[in-house]
This record gives sequence, C-alpha cells and structure tokens, in this order.
Amino acid sequence: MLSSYLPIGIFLGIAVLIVPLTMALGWLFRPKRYDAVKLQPYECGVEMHEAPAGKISVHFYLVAVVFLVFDVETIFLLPWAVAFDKLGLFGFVEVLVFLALLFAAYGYAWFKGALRWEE
Amino acid sequence: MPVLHPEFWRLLSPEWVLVCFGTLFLLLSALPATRGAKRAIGVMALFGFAVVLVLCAQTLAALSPGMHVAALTGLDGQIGLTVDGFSQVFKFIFVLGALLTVLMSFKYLDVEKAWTGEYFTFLTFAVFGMMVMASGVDLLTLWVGLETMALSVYVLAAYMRRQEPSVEGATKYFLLGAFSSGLYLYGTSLIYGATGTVQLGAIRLALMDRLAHGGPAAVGFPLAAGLVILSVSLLFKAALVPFHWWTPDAYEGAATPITAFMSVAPKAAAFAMLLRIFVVGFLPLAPMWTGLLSLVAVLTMAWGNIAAMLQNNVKRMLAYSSIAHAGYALVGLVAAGRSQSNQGIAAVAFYLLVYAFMNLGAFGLVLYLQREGSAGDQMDDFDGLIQRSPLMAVLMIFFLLSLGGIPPMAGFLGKLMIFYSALDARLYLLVVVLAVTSVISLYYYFRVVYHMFLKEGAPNLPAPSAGRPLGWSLALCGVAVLAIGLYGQPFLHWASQAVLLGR
Repeated sequence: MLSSYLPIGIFLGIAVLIVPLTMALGWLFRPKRYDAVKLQPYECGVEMHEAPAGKISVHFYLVAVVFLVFDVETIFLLPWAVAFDKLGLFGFVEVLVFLALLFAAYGYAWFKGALRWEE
Repeated sequence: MPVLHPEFWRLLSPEWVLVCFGTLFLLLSALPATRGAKRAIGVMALFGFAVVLVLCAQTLAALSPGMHVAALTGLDGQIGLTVDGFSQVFKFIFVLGALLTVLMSFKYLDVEKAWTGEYFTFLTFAVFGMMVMASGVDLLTLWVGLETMALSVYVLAAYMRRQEPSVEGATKYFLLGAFSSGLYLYGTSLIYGATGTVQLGAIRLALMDRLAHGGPAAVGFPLAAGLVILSVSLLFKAALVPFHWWTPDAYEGAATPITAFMSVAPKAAAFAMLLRIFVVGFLPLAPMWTGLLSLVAVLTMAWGNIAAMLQNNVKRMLAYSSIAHAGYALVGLVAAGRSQSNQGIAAVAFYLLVYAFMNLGAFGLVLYLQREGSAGDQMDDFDGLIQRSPLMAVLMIFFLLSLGGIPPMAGFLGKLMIFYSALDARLYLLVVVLAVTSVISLYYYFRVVYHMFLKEGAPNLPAPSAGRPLGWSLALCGVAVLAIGLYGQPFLHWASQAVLLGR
C-alpha cells in the first residue's frame, strides 16, 4: 500500500534538492565580479528610474473579482456543454439557475460601481 | 442522470427559500438607499428567517421517525444531500440563531450607524452554507457548505471595517480559516486515495471491509493521517483547544451581534459536520478517534474555563466560555462514538439548542449596555446594573446561571444530558473533568453577578435603552432558558429526533 507512494516520494526528493543543487552549481562555476551595473535588478534594458513599490488602485482588485465571476462561469459551463445531451432538461434548468445567481452578483457589482474606473 | 427526489421542493424548502431571500437582499442592497430603506431589508431578513424556521420545523415534522430521504443525487448516482431528522434539527438551530441575531442587530446598527443590506445578505448565505453542512453526505458537498459559510462569516467578522480590532480579528480568522480549509481538502484527498470514495456511507463500508480482513493494522497510514488532518480542520472551525487561538481576537473585534452569531451558529454547524463525518463515515474507527477527541475535550474544557477566569472584557470572557462549551458538546460526540445508542447525538443537539438561547442572551446583555462610543463589553460596564435596570440584571443572572449549569436553568438540563450520555458510554474521566471544570466556570460567571449587584455604578450614568427588537429577543431567550429548564420534556423529545442517516 505504502510502497505505491514511493514514486511520489522520489519526486518530492528531487523537487526539494533541485533548488539548492542548481544554486550551488551556479555559485561554483560563475565568475564573481561585482560592480554597480552588475548588481542592478536588470543588467540590461531600460534604465531604472523609480522604486517599484507604489500604491496600487483598489480598482484592480475589483476588476479581478468581477473577472473571477466570468471565469468561474466559463469553467462550470464547459463541462455542462460537453455533457449537454446526457444531462437533459435537468441540467439545462440547473445551469439557468446557476447563471441567474451569477448575474445577480454581477448586477450587484455593476450597480455598486465596481466597473466605473474614474471616480 | 441526476435524480431529484419527487418531493425535492418540499424537502429542501428551507434551502431554496433562503437562497431566494439572500439573492433578493443582495440585489436590494445594490440600490442606493436611505437608512430607512436599509432598515427595511433588516425587517425582511427577520421575516425571511421566520419563514425558513417554520419550513425547518415542517420538514422535520413531515419525516416519520428514523426516516431519511436522499434529496439530491448526483450524476454518478451517489447521494449528495440528504434530509434526515439530524439535518432538520440542526437547521432549526442555525435559523433560530440567525433570527435572534437579526433581532439583536437593530440596536447595534442604529448606534454604530452601520446599516447596510450586505449585512443581512451575508448572514443569509452563511446560514445556507450551514444547512449544506448539516445535510451533505459526502466529503466534498460538506466542504462546499463549509466554505459558503466560512467566506460569509469572514466578511461579517470584518464588518466594522473602520475599526482596527475588527479587521485584525477577521484577518486572523481568515488566514487560519483558509489554511484549515486547505487541510480539510488535503485530508479528503488522502481518504479518497485510501478508500476510493468520498461518500461517507461508502467510506464506512470500505473501512468495515478492511477491518474485517486485516484487523486494526490494515487501516494504514494514509487513511489515519487523512482522518487526523480532516479532524484538525473541523476542530478549528468549532474552536476547540489547541485550535482555538483565533477565537478571542475574532470574537472581541467583531460587531457584537456577529460575535453572538459566530459563537452559536457556525459552531453548531461545525458540530453537525463533525457528527456526520465521525459517526456515519468513520464509526468503524471509533476506538481510534474517540481517544483523540477525548484528549481534545479534556484540553478544551480545562483551558477554556481557566483562560476565561483571567478576562476583564466580557466579550472575551464569553469567547473563552464558548470554547469551554464546545468542549462539553464534544464529550457528547465522543459518547456517540463509543455507545450504540442515539443518546450522545441527541444530547449534543439539545445542548446546542440550549446554548444558542443562553449564549445569545448573554451577548444580548452586552448589546443592551452598548451606547455611543462604548461597546459595553467591559466588566465595569456592568457595575450597579441592578439599580439602573433590575429586570435586565435578573435576565443576565438567568443566562449566567444557565451557562454555569445551575438548576433550574436550561443549561443544567443540557449538561445533565451530556453527563448521562458520557456515563452510558463509560467515559468516566470525561465526566469528572466536565464536572470539575463546570465548577471552575462558576467563578467567572459570578464575577459578572458581583459587578452587577455589589459594585456601585458610576453616578449619573443614563439607564441603557434596549429598543424593541433587542428587548423581544432578550425576553425570548430568558423565557426559553427558564422554560426549557423547568419543563424540558418536549425539547428533549425534539432533540431525540436527530437521528443520523446510516447510523
């Protein structure tokens, strides 16, 4: 019984080891010459001009949540569509109920102004 | 083909009526509205819960004794939701808790000027999740119910979002709660890997088969680990030691009516789920999990009561006291696993009903003392209450006596039933711990009495006002605590209808 978990154990071991192993190899073989340009987050490309941590508008979260409504809707609609002929009327009504509940939530977000970008 | 029971609509009427109300509240709360209109949503919530309470009682009455119905069967022909005496008794307790909470919310929301429609929407969907937790018969359906409840309650715990303690408590609750939900799924996947099913009835058959062929040694590590991990997540939801650390902070920070609700309904729902999973699914392993849960029960009763003695904030004190009460109820669960009779389950159901009345009542008194700029949750707020409002002081004594388990109050009868079921199952150690810790609990309950009777209140303090809805709910709780204590027979009979499908 337990032995059937052995491959998982081996994979786990490899997964745990691979990070320190590659880091150690890199440390062993790379040339170590540090200067101001080398220590920048991006060695080449656009010049840095600003600290990265700024404020992020709360609207992004709202949009993400509204996106989730549609995302979940699609994920649940797909298996229903695939098995449509087997599910019959029951499945159809079930999906309509599901959509109605989601649209209620969507309507709520809309009326509350979650989709309005400028305030 | 999924199968609906021919009487699906009647059997699951509490659920779908509740969802309709919840959706209605959601849409109404999206409209810009005045405070009066938002108050109207509260009144509608009151009406909605009252209707659903009647539906719960009706569906229970319609079941003949011991009967159960597979209300919803999935694609693979496996039962998802069931309606049995057990589920309907517990649904009644959840809805009762929510109804009393809505009544108590009016004053709080008035004083804090915090009326919104979402408050009632989340309350409604939380109760819906609990109903699925009481009715589900496979581990994944139960999980969906658990999450529906938990997500709604996280939001409610953070309801006073401008107040730091509320957000802090809710964050702790959310982080630990999300983690424990993950643990639940992890445990479920291990159990599925070991038995090949998530159906509680099928898990039980698989376990019996395995025990019959190989004895206890054949249980195997993945299954045992799965069971332990699963129970950890449920013990967390029911706030049992050592998984209780979120409780005092979340309870102290949350709006008082929400604290009252959290200490009663989600706890009862977690117990419904614990009972269903352990007593139906894992009964063949009872010798194993009763030992584990006995240890948890002893720790919970001891730690909950000892920590409650040290609190000066009444909400925090009641939080620890609610931990201790969950410990008492857990004794009933262990007894249900040890003995063949239904006594343990009935004792837990009865205890949770009584606990709903007395604990909501005690929190109601905190709400009664609430005034602008003060939550009314300090011990000192109770000073000299007997002079300011004697009736309320007497009511508080009712609730405290009942929580302490003193006759003739309902709490005594509840504890007695747990006591009997434990004796019946020969759990002598648990019986002793239950008795001793109950005596300890009297110390901190009587500290409140001391403050009400023997301390002088600050002079010129205006007499607190209850407002009509809060007054009604307090009166209802007080009458119930006294009536169940004096004449408990019909209520005991009601609780004895909590028969589990497949037990």
